Amino acid sequence: MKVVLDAASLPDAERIASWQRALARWLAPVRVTAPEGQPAGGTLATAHLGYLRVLSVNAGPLRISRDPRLVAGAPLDRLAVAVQGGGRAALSQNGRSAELRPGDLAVIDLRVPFRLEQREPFGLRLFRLPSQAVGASRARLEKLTGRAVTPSGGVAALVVPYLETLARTAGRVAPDVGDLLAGSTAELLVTLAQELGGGGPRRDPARGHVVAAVRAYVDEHLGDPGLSPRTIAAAHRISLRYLHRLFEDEGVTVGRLIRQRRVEECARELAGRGRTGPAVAAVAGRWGFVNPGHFSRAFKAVYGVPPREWAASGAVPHGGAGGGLPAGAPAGASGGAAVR
Amino acid sequence: MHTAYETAYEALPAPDRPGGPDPAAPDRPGVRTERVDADRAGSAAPPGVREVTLWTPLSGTAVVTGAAPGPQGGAVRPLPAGALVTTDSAVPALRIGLGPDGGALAALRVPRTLLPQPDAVLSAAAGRVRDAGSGVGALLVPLVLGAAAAPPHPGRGRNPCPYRKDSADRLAGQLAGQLADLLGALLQELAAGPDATVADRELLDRIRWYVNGRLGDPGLCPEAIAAAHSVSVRRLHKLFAREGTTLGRWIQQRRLQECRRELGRTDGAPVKVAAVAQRWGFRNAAHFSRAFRVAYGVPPRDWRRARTRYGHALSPL
Repeated sequence: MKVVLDAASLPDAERIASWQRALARWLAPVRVTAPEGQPAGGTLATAHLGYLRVLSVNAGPLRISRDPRLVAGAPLDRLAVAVQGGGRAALSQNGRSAELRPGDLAVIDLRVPFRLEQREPFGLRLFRLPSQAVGASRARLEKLTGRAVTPSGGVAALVVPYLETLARTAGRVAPDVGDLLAGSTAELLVTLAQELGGGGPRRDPARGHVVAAVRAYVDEHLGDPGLSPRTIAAAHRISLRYLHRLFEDEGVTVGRLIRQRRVEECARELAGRGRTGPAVAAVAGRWGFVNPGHFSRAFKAVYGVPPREWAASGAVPHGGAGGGLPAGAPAGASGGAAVR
Repeated sequence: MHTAYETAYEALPAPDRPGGPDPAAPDRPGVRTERVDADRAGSAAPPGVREVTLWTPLSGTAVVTGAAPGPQGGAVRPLPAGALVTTDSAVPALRIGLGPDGGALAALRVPRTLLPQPDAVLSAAAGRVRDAGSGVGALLVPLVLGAAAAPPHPGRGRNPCPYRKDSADRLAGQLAGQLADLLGALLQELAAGPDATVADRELLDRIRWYVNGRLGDPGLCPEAIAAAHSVSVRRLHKLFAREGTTLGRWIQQRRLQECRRELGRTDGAPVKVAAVAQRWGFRNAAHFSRAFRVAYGVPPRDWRRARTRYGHALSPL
């Protein structure tokens, strides 16, 4: 792979912008932030096989996020698969969130916002595919977004080492072989999603549209404290029962989706302002939280720190920071892959 | 060019014909993994079925005997641990044996029908001993050993996954099909001679990346590709001529490869032949079917059926 960014060789002030430029080019336009006092050093290397783009990132703590504004500015019909090498990270997308531990695999949909917080010095391999490569099976992979797949057995235990080898192999095979490997990789990911049961064939294609419409509706009405499953069902002329059933298949409840999206927006606003930022209660209120105690609990559940501490730290929480590498790969040597 | 291929295909019994293969029969054609010990010979290909087999030693050192093309051709060559070789049942002279000290081999057997490569690629690859730790071998061998050791079996172990499960058989079939595809990539890699040094390697690489990302665009044409890379159409054509192909042929081949892959998918998501062809940039369904047949010897629908039938039967090594 070719190193396209060596941030440590750049002056501190230019590093964040360089990360953003490089990731925009090779992955997708994203916002990059580093915890205060952390120099954002590290490297980005890349190679491709057919239409598969492989990225290898080794860096200090970084937060990589794609917010609704960036998504609207550059809608990318692509999927990325992340394999966490070292360090622990928090990933959230589509209302779900999970902790990535070394060896874990995660699917990131570049069409919708996501946030990936690398809380420790980390290694990460990313494999970006055009959605077309997975065709009608895209829905299966979307169900894995915001989840951590632990390679403790089954197809996941085959796919993760395969991807690690692929990252080393990329750039060293003949282009016609690379074209075939890109396709095979897409197929293996489809099989992985199949094993994890992420959504079978949609019996009713209209369901997908309703789910998308509901998600868009939720995003538009986050600031309305009255937003609830009941009002959503009414606005879409569907029964409350049907709404709940739709989201059962999505792996998230409607209530949780609303809470998660609100917390995400609050976190974004609080992180952007640092110490001079707006009062936490005002931000929470603007995004539809009526009860400050409820907001604090919901926030802490997602980010692991209370909102005030989050705002003061400027961005990334220091869960297990201090430079120490986390413990080895997750336990569980046998059995099927686990999705948390 | 595909005569042998078609013959192999025709020889396969129809799935729904009475007297067709019993799915449980050990000699049912399909993707199979097998362990061959000193005291246990490997099974032969089912009658009338041409198979390509990937071999890698599990223990001890094996030997490759029989003629092989290229510089490695000759009598007896060792197949040490960490190496791999492929054989083709249509070339019976080429054989794999165990050394005097015994040992064991792992084999991945794939019906020729499931491999899209032309006969020339198969025969160029057969008998070439390669390091299994690099290139496609490094990807395929661990998958073969892993899939054989623990075939996918949903519902086992700790799994708080809230989703429902597909049947293990369908998963194994899907995975077996992918092993076959990767074997195809390996054959292509083995068959290639030493990488011809092309002065414009980097430009060609950029063009391939550009085209690979736009295969679904039916308007993809030499003019647009040349303009996007600030080169003349003439220079573009010359680049591909030096690779022994033409730009148009390469684009069509890539589109067909992607269609073949998607049509071979058996994960239950809806797949319509015409829709797949259109999504990969074919404007005309009849043209697609013809091109597919010319490239792979079978019509798209038959390929889909063959894949569903033969992607199967992974057994512990």
